Amino acid sequence: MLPELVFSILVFPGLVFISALALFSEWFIRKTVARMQNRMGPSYVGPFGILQPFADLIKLLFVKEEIAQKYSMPTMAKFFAAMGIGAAIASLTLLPISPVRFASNYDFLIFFYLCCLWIPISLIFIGLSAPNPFSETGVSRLLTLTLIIEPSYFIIFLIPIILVTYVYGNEIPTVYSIYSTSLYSWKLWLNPVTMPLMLIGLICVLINIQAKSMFQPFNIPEAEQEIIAGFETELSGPVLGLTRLLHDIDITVSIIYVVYVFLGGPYPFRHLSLPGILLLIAKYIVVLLIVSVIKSVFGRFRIDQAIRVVFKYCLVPSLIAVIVATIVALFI
Amino acid sequence: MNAILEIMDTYMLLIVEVGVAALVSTIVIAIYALLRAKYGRRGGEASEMYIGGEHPSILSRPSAPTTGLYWGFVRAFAKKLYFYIRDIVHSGRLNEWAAYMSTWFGFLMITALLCLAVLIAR
Repeated sequence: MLPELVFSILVFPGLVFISALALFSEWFIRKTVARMQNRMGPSYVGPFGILQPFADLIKLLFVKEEIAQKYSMPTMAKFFAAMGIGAAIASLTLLPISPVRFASNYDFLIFFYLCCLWIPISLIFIGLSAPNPFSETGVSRLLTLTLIIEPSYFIIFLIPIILVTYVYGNEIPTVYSIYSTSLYSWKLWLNPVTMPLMLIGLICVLINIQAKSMFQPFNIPEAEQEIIAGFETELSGPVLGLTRLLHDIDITVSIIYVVYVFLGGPYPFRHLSLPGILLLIAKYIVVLLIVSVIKSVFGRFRIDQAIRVVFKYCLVPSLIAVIVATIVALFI
Repeated sequence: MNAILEIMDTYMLLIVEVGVAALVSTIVIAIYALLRAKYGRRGGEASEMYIGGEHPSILSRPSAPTTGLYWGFVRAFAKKLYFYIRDIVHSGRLNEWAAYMSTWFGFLMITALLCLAVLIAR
């Protein structure tokens, strides 16, 4: 099992694949948003500029100077960036995309521990490692948003997890599990009772991902021009490169989880079949496109507006959906 | 390559996942350290904090307190609830405070009993 585990962690869907996919996703978002705003977007490095994010990353990591102001702690920032990347990649072993899959009862709690605790904490500590009034403002905004985004993310994911656990309880290998939910969530879309709940969950999770990714209209923690670059103000060179990579990996992993837990991944086809691969890619691209469209058509919210939107359109509907899902589950 | 599914205890899985996260983090740091030592350079420029060209003494001026975020939240979302609770709890009458507390604990107790009833019924 060791060679397969090393392959899963380091190559697919581990470090190499997820980094490449994260950089592709960044290119896709930048290009799509640019074309919608009548700009060219990345164009020079690689075909259609597809290698531009990779070139930016290499430049920041290995070419640009590491400028440290007298109060900053760049080593701590790099440590937390690496911890965030590690947590995001480790969480992928809970999904059926990994050749070595880990599962247990209640493993969704481990997913939240890795993705909803470690990644925001990493970003917050990276911001705090270079103290500055602008980065402190950015971090306080990030903390405020995190306090409402992460609980609603948790509740939204409970909808398919509860439904799969109760509706397919006799067939699944583990209960309240990311792995089992990924295998059976596509069937919930075919059931007229569970389909509306899944639809509510999907809409909520798309809004929540937008906020989690700090994309417009939720780009308040970095608020370019308003607070210079927010929590990234004092970051430069390799620290900025690692932070951006962590941010891209966070978005990628969040979208992969939506594709599996809400949209059913490649199922009913197999992973290694052509229809399965095409379906998986199509679902990923569609979610990425929705994120890009929302990013390009909205302006920036104020912090209170952002909290109100997440509260009104993510937390409350998902809470109602979870209660209804539990009632439905008890009677099915 | 055949897929391998490992079903384990939740606590064991937590330990394994944290171990995997630590391993990947170490590898990222090692790759970075190796390549950075070969190609990177450290700048000695700009040791001052960036505060929009202002003198650092500006930071000693009074600024908005961090508790402002909490009160902002209360004002925006929980104003009515805040005043309602404040009027009951801080009215100075012991019986109002006791009524509030017993209502709240009563609510929790009823919820716990309902949960227990559902569990026993299943």
